[in-house]
Parts: sequence; structure tokens; C-alpha cells
Amino acid sequence: MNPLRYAYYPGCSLTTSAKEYDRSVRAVFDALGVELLEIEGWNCCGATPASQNELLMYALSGRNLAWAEARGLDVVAPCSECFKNLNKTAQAVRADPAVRAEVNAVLGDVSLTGKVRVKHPLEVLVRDVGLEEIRRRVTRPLAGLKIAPYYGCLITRPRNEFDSPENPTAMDDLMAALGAEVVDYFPYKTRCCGGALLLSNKRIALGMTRDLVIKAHQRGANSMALACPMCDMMLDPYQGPALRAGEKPLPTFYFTQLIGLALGIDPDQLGFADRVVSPREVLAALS
Amino acid sequence: MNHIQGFSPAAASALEKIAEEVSVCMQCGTCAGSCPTAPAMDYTPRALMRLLQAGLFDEALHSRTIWMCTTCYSCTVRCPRDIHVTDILGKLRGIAIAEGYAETAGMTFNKAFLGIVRRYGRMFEPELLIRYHLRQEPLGIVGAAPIGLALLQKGKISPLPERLPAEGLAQIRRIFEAVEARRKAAPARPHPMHEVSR
Amino acid sequence: MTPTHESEKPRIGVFVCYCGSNIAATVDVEKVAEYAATLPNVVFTQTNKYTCSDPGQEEIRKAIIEHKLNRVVIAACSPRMHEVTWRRLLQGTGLNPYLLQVANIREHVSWVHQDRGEATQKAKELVAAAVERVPLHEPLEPRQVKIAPSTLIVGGGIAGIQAALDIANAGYHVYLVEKQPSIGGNMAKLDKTFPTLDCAMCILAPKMVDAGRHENITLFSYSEVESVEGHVGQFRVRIKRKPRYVKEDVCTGCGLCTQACVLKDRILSEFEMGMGKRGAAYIPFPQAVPLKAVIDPEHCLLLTRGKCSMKCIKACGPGAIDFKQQEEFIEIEVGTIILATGFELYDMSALPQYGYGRYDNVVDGLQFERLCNASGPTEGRIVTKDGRVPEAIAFLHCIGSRDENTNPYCSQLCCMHTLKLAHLAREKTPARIYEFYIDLRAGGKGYEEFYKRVQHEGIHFIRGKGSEVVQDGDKLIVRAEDTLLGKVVEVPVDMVVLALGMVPPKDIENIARIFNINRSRDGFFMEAHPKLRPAETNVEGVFLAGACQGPKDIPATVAHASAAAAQALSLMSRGQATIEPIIAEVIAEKCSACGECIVACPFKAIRMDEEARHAYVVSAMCKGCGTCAAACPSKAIKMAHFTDQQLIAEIEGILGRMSEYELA
Ligand code: SF4
Ligand code: SF4
Repeated sequence: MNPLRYAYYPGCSLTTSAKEYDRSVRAVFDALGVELLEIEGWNCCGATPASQNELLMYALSGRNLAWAEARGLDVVAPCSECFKNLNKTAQAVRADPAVRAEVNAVLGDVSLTGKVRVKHPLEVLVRDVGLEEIRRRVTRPLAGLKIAPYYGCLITRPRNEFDSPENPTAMDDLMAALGAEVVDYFPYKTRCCGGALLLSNKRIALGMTRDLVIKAHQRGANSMALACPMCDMMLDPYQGPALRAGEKPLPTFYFTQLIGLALGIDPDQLGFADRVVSPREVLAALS
Repeated sequence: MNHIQGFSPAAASALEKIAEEVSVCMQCGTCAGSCPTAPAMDYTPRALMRLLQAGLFDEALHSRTIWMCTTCYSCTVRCPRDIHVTDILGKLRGIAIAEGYAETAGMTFNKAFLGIVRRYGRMFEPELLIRYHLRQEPLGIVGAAPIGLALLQKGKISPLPERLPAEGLAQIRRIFEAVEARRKAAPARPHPMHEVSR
Repeated sequence: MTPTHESEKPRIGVFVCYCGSNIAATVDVEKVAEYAATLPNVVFTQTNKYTCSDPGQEEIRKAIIEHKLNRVVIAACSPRMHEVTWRRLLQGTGLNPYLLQVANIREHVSWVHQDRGEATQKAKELVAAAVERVPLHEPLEPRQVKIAPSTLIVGGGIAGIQAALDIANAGYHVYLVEKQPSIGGNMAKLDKTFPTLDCAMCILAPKMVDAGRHENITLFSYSEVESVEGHVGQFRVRIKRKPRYVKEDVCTGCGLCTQACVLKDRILSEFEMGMGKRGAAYIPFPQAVPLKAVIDPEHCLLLTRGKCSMKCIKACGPGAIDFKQQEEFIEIEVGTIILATGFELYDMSALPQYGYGRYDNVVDGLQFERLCNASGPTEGRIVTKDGRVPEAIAFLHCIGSRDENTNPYCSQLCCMHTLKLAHLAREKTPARIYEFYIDLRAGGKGYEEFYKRVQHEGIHFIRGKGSEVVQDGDKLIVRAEDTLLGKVVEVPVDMVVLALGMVPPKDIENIARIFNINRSRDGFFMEAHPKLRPAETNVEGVFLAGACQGPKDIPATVAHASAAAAQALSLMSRGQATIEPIIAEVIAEKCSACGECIVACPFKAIRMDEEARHAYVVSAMCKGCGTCAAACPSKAIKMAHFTDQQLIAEIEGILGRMSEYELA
């Protein structure tokens, strides 16, 4: 079998607030023998504001996709927002020749045929690498962790090609393969954290985040696995402000940090020190 | 043939397209019942679709709804008529901005965000926060300071923007310009509400 | 092109139809006729307001005689509508009926295009194609076949039972095949029926008994149709009888084995929709017909593990239990067939947001029906899984219906069915009752009145589709928008009932294949005409009864079943039918005996003459699908009425005119 090779689109957050996501994705993929080629000169996908003009969103995303397509590579995008924009663009360009023509006209010096596919690291790990392989590589099972797998909105919605928008299971399966106890976090696993309203409607946004933490505790979780920098912003640095006095915080991790840990990668390389809600206690509980 | 009145040709064209999509909305309310922020909206997503069906575009563009959407796509995946509610709300935000509707917090955020992308090719959060707070709640920046500091300490905020190389920046600028030119040149389409259907 | 079979020069008449405004609104009919007049071999053209009407036909008849036409092209609606009518017309003038070609300028043109210029152009091209093709038509002779005086009915629900009784009472023989151990179908599971609230079993059971005892009905329960060969009048049917492991002629239906079975009350009962339990030896329900026990081979310990104390054998007085039973195959010949294979419920667990299959007290419409039923698992008490009397119940309409994500069509009866369930719940519990609906569809005799009655009973109607159900302790929270208020509501209830969505049974594709029946977009069987031939199919002699053709309630099902029975009876009482001579023929000299066609034929209608070393078509079995002609590498198969030359001429007709069009 050919070694797995992808174009890598980190996106803006992974260079700043979500740098441990970036580090852990790279470390885990490297350990599993999956090669990531960072897209040269990548640009911001435009996130939610770009959705005010579909063509702008397609073009900003398309410029990044064109680099990968020209090299015959599929794209891996860990940030949910970027994944959604890039994936939507790839799907639209593939499905609709009129969109393709328009996007290419705007892109000018580069162009897309629609061949490129966009994958979330979850898909690569579960589908391309495979749970069996990951299970085989686990050297430090995560026994003792009771994980609420939290997908957020944009990995599975509006649609991807690998998991259900209502009850996704890829992360559940992955965490179970690492030897962790996975709590049943349906239906909260796909509920919105409110992140998009953090600046404009802070009270509402924090209320949504608090609800997620409380529900996870109710389900018996002692930690939460994340896959999105925006969710992370809400559930790590802003978890404190979201909770009321006396409410117990819940340590959260990028799911790739947890995989790295189970694969025996040095925790320092995985950016555990960068967490705001202290993970010390729950990590100490790891048998 | 009737065209939507009172908007720039570009906006009228975009609204016509949207009106066509929402014409098959059956007002079931699945979107609203799935929406995490509907209770805080002035019009529920379903009611907003109704405004669009009724041709009350100005009300729709004035609504809080379009700025209360978190873009979680819960409505879109469940809509039994396959209406892309989330994307429609996104487009309405764009039209509200382009048509000069009163600036909301969300609007400030969007404008600042895309301005930064256009300038650097990438996001630069400190500038986004400053621009946002200067316009919307100058004192808010004080409230955000402790978390900002914590993130700065952990190296999660960079003090300087990361820019694309000149060639890349030029490409980004061209993309923005070409998109804007196309938006303005969008052809007027007949308003489906007034077309005789077979 | 010159005709290949007659020295006579072709004299074509072209008749272009207005179809009132159906065609004329979009196609310039006069222009099409003018254009047709310029085409080779066309000696006469005419336009008609309604070509299918008596005066329209009379015009054609006169023209054929006056102008000595020997070929006819009619540009009108789909040949599926009136080709047969016009063939008869040709025959009346002495012309062979197959010297006709119909150009479909309605379904293929006026109904699907808007631009008048382009539509007219397309109509011209289709006419040109027909004019090129028709000279190559050869006279064909239809075959007469005898109709055997018996009917196969597949499916023993209310539709199959009704059709069986109608036919049997008329003196013809019926073979009724049911795959379950008992007939009765879904209706047998119902408590009361809307809008009159008569007890379902009270009106169904006598019919089931009649069907079971009728001298003209042979009932094959627990059986399936394996294959069908032949054609109208003479269908040869192979039926598989699954082993019951109980001798039907010895079992008295006393039920002692079901009491003795070591797995008694351990297996979810299909009849009870999983709400009640049964053993491996069981009788599906007390009124079952035939009232015979059956042993479930998927659970029976002896049959699955080879080891069991076999209490059933000891319990059975007459010694009816027989673990040595094997599958049996029976071959019958029938003249007509009625499919009455019904529907299944949409599987709600595909919609995780409603918690079906996850939360104990989220049930579907039929499960709730069993809770209401006095002979059901709770003896008619409506209680939660843990035995509580519900304080509030929510009924959610349209789950799995009217939804692009599931089934775009309306299941039609669920509004009324759900209203009836709400009424029963009102009768039996003090619960607050909510109906979450989008549109209440109560079109039917006495239906709107029933809706009003239920409103009057203090049931809360909330106009908004239930968006999701979330469990919170003992309660289930239904979230929806009250769209008339524009407010999102969260209603705590103890039970949620999801209205049943009707879907075609899982094996419908297989049944469609066995009987060569088309299906419509919704997956149900397709009728020959949506208005005028609702019980007929694309295969002559095969009819449809009930919900296998689309969602129907009981009155509509019974009416449809009687319609199917009447169609079958009229055919059988006529005693004979003509069948199309459009079949394949192997040209022996060209055949290399490779056998490709034998593999390709979906009807097993081709055999090999081993001595003469060529294939041949069993004409009685050939349905004229043409698959073999396409598969034959030696071009040794000729499809009557669809020869290569005819098809090429048709294509040339279109392409030739296309290039003219481009030049213009
Ligand atoms: S869910 Fe779809 S059809 Fe229903 S009200 Fe919302 S937009 Fe309209
Ligand atoms: S995408 Fe927006 S409108 Fe739709 S459910 Fe989410 S927040 Fe509500």
C-alpha cells in the first residue's frame, strides 16, 4: 500500500489559539506514518463571515484547494470551520459546472477541476488509517478517562461523506479504541457551543457552553474530546466565565492530543501545558 | 415582469434567487424547533422564511434573526424541503451589509474580519478584537483582558499579524475585487412570486 | 429509405393532435403538420383537436381510405395512453395495426418544455423520426391466448383477502400466498378504525375466516412466490412453502406447544410490534388464519443449537410437531395475478433526533395501537414501559413522510390514524395530549367531522413539526415551534408517538423483478395509468391491490382491491386475450450458439437447441424487453417492431432534422 499523503491546511486558529491542535495533529499523523504537506502560502478560508457571499467563500477556499489539486493530493483540514468551508467548496465545484466556472473565473491564475476531496482528520484516522491499526499502536491505554466526545456543528453538518449529522460516532469509536471509557453524549455531542456569538451575544453564547459542560458531567464524563478551535475557545479559556460559582470545571482536550497520549508520544510535544482548564488531575488518574 | 423594488440591482438579484429557493418552504417550523437561538430571535427562522416568501425583504434584513444565527446548520440538515436556511441567513447578512443597513454587533464583526483577511490573507485576532470593541463596546475590551492575557502567556495570541507573501496578497485582493464586481453585475431575475406557475 | 417487405410505395398519413390545449399551448401544432407535409412519403397531413375522440378517429379512418394510406403516424400523447386504440382503428380499415407509429409530443414535449419555439422544433423532430421509421414497419399478427380461470394473489392483508373473496365468490379459483404464518396483515394489528371507530378485528376476522374456509380459495400461508413464467392467461408460478415444523393438517391450534416452549415469552413478537413477547413455538395472534402453530427457526433451540428438552413435542396431543419438515415447492398455473403486498413502516430509528429505539417511551403508531388493544401486551392499558400512567402524551405527525431527507411523499393516512390514536388515548387515560402537525389532512368521508370531534375532546393541537425529542429524567421533552404563535415550545411528556410513515416492503424490489412490474419514484408499484387504470400494471394480467401501489387507508384499500378483482374477473370471464407479437426471434443462420442471450434474458425465455447449435426463443415466455438483441454479439436476434433498422431510421430522422435546425 502506498503511504498516505495529504495536503495540510492548518488554518489561522491552528497557528495561534489552537496551536496544540496543530502540534498534536502533526505528531499523531507522523507517528502513524501519514505524511502531511502544508499548503504553501495558504490563506484564511473566510470562516463564517465569508458565508455572506458564497462565491467569496468558494474562492477563498478554492485558492487553497487548487494548490492541493495541482499536486494530486486530497486536503486535510482540522479546524471545523475551515473544514466546512473547504469541503463545501470542493463539493460545489465537483457537483456544479456553473459554480466551477465562476470560481475559476474569480481565481484567475489558478483553477479547480473538482477532483480534490477535503477530509477532516477524524475521517483520515477512522477510514484511511483504520481503527484496527490505531488500536494496535496504542501503548498507553487511556483507562480512567471518561470522555464525552464532542463534535460540535461543522464537522458533520451540513454534510460530510463519513458520518451522520445527527449522531456521529467516529470520535466515539476512536476514543474507545484508545482504551478510554466513552460516555454516551448524544444528543449534546452535536449541539452548538455558541462560539459564533461570543463577541456579539456573550451571555447567550456562554449559556450554551455551560449547558454542554453540565450535561457532560451528568453523563459521568471526567473530560471532553474536542475537534474544533472555536469550541475549544468556548470550552477551555471561556469555560470559567461560562460556569457559575461552585460549578465543577471539565478538562477538555483536542481529540488528537488524546490519541497522541495513547500512542505514547511525549505529552510536551502534544501541548498539554497549553490547556487553560487544568488537566492535571484527570491525567493523573490515568492508570 | 416584476422585480424587487427598493434595492440595488445586485441586492434585488440576490433576493430574487433567495425568494425562489424559499418558495417551497412549507412553514413546518422544523428549523425553528431545531435552532439553539430561536428563542432569542425576533423572527424564528421559519418566520423569516415566511417574510421572504411574502416579499417582506426589508423586514427580513432588519431582523435580529440574521445576526443571532450561530451557523450551526441544525435547521438545514433537518429541513424537510431541503432549504439551506443557514446559507440563506448568511447571504442576507451580506445583503444587509452591502445595502447599508444599521450596523449591528455581528455586522461590525463580519466587516472587521473580512477586512483583515483582505489585508493580510490571514486572520489576526488582536486587531479583530480591537476593531470590534472600538465600534461596539469600548469597555468590553477590559472584560476580555484577563483571558487575553492568559492566552498571550500561553503563546496563543501572536502580537504581530502573519501576512502572506506579496504575490499571495495580490491574489487575495484580486479575489475580493472580482467577487465584488460580479456581485454588482448580477443580472436581474424575474421575481418568482409574481410569475404565473404552470 | 424504402420499405423492405412490400413493393408498394409507402403512403404515410401524419395526424397531429392539439389535445385540447395540452399540446397546443406549447407546441405550434399547425406548424408541425405543415412541416410533416414536406417529409418524404407523406401524402396526407391533418390536425385534430382530440385524436383519441370518436370524431378524431373517424377523420383518420376516412383519410386512410380516401388517400389509400398504408402507414400512419400520430403525433399526440404517450403511446402508453392510446396506441392500442389507434391500432384497433387501423385494423378496422383493413390495415395491419402495427403499421402505426406514435410520436409522443405531449409527455415528451409540451408537458416538459416551456419555450414554444423550441418545443415546436422538438415536436417536428419527433415527427420526422416517426416518418423515417414507419415505412420499415412490418405487419405483425397478435397472438390469441386462453385465460386460465384462476388467480394468484400475493399478500394476505385486507387487500389480498378482499380481492380473494370477490374472485372466489364469482366462481373462480384463488391461490392466496402470504409470507407470514397468518393472513390479516397490518389491519389485524389495529384496535379501532377511523372515523367510525369500529373494532378492526371485529370487521376483519370474519373475512379472514371466510378466506380460510372458502372452497375456491387455496391458502398458502408462510409461503413466498419464487418465480413466475409465461404471460397473461398462462402464468406458471412456483411457490415456496417454508417449513412450519408443525403439520398443518394435524395441528388443532390448541396452543399447548406455545405454552410449553422453553423460550415462552422470551422473543419479541412481530405481531405485537415488539411490545409483547412470544415463544419459539407460537401462534401469531388468537384470531390467526390458519389457526396453526409455527416454530420460529431463527430462535428455536433445537433448530439453532440442535439441543432442547423439546417440551413442545411432549405437550402436543395429536403429535403435530415435526422437526423434519423441509421447504416444499409447489407449481401452479393461473390466468391472472393480483399483487397485494402492502406496506411496511418507515424505520424511525434512522432519525436519531426523535429517540426511537433509544428512549423507552418513544413508540410508533402501530406500537401505540397495540397498547390500546384489549388483546395487546398491556390488555389495553396505555402505560409507559415502566408501568406509569402517562400524564402527557405527544403525537408527532409526518415523521418519515413529506421529508426530502426520508420520504418526500405524504403517507396519507397518518393524520387520521394519529387523530384516532389521540382519541383512544383520551378515552383511556387522563393524560394531556398534544398533536404536533404541519397540515391536518382529513379528506375523506366523515374525516373532517372526526377531526372536529377530536378537537372537541380537549386535545391540544400545535401547528409545527416536532423537531426533536430529548430525554430528561422521566420526561421526554418535545421541542418544536408553535408556528401560529411564532414561539419555540418545549413540552414535557411521558410518551411520544411517531405517526407511521408508510414505505414499500423491503423485498419489493425482488417482487417487482419476479413479476416484471415497474415501480414509481416513491418505490411503490406503478399503476398503468394514475387516474384511469389504477389497478392495472405494465404487465397484462397482473393487477395491483391496496398499499403496494401507494399509501392507502382501509376504505381506499378495499375499493382498490375490489377494482383489481373486477379487472381480473373481466379478463377471466372473457376467456381469452390477445398478446403483443413484439417478441424476439433468433436468426438461426447468424447464431454462433455462444449462449450470451440465455444469460442476458431476465425471463429465461431463450433456450439452446443443442443439436442444431443455435438458440431459440420460447415465444410464450418472451416479454419483448430486447435485452437479448442488445447482448447478442452476432446480431442474430431480431426484435419484432424494434429492429436495428427501425431504430436507426428513427435516430436518423432526429439527427437529420437537427442539422437542418442548426443551419437555420
Ligand atoms: S424547516 Fe424548512 S420547510 Fe420547514 S419551516 Fe423551516 S425552512 Fe420551511
Ligand atoms: S444555523 Fe442559525 S438559524 Fe439554523 S439552527 Fe443554527 S443558529 Fe438557528
